[in-house]
Amino acid sequence: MIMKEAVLQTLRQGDCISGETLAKVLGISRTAIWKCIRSLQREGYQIESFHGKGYRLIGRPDLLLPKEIKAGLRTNLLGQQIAYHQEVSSTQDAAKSLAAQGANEGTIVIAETQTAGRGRIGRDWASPPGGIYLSIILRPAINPSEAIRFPIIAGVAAAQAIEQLTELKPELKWPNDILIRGLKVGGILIDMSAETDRINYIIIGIGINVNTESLPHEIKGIVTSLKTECGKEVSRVQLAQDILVQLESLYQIFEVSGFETIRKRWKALSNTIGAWVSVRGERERLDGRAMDIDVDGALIVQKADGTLERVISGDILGVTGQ
Amino acid sequence: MELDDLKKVIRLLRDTDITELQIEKEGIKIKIRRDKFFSAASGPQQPVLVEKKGVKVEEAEEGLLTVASPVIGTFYRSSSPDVEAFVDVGTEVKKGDTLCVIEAMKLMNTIESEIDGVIIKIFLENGHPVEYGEPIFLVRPK
Repeated sequence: MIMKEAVLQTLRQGDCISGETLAKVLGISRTAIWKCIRSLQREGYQIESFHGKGYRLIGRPDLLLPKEIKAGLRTNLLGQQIAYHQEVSSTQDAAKSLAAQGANEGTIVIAETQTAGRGRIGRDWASPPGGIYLSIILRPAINPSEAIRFPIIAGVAAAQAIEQLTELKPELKWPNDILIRGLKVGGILIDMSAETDRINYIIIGIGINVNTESLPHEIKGIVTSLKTECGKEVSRVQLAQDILVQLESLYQIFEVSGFETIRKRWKALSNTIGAWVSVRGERERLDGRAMDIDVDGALIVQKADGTLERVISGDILGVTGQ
Repeated sequence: MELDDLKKVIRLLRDTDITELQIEKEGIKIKIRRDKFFSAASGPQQPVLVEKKGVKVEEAEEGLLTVASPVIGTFYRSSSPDVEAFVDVGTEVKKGDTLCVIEAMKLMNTIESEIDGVIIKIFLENGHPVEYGEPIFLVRPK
């Protein structure tokens, strides 16, 4: 098993390398090398073999395999431990149970599909193949009441990652829906377990429609995928890596210098500020102009009578007239 | 402090000349005031002011524990509108059992019981906003 990873590692360098050299470098027999190659090919790695010359890696499987995500991952904390699932009920629930069992900060759960992906209270998150379903365990040493800023932090991280990789212009709808041309391409849900004055863990769940083809009919016209918007496939491994890098960087900024820089970035990415919005809460509806987000990330809405309202919960239904 | 205790205190004051009384216990402040020109029996009663503050209120004489919200948000009694509530009045809970979820900006804060006990009271209705430090449950420890 470890030998197979070593073979892959060597092939990643890009050159054609002979079985004999591989065997010598890794200190195993050529037959063992051949077995490793066969096993990698079965996983979806495309490895050419030239008689007399050796092997060359020409294609990787389009899967979010831990070894793919870890290869070249430029983080110190996030994604150092990865739990990978072909299919899982929910990466959030899987991450919750890992966190409850004491998983290290930065551990991630990632899946190709989810059978019971979750949105906000009582809502599903459609999770067909081709998307990224990622949950990240954090254990910030802050008071639980300060955790309210993580939805904003995570939204900025995901939008920046998409912007960097695709040259698309993602926008954030308060608090953290990720939109492209007004269509939803990603969403974020955060679970927290806390005691009165300390956080046990926070789990940031990010779902992105990357190369997703088969989104449910009832959300067509509301959602899109990066592939649709770019007109070509987008590397899911690369995007997952970029999200981890961005989130780690913002997490450090938050810990070291506070929320203000991130709040400004959110505002620059937002389609909400300055717009007329209709916010549907659990019990009431509020119409007005979105003025700002405050030091917690709460939305400040000015009603028609000029009074200001601070919104911390609810869905923004319409965003019109910048 | 339960309503019955409050009534007892008010009854005690009735036969005295005391017009103002303030009781403060860990996190709960109760102020009772009456106009000295009215006797309790004949005149209109002054409102009883109950102020609350603090995060966790231990009520020693009753031995009840108030679970207060560590965050602001919207209070949810179940994980979804079409499933049963995590707990009801009378539900026996173990340490670590989920009592409710408080949501703010799609951050779902699961509130777990810190003790074994029985739910005596639920202060809020499903879907209501909750403030930092606001009481949500009263639990009788086992």
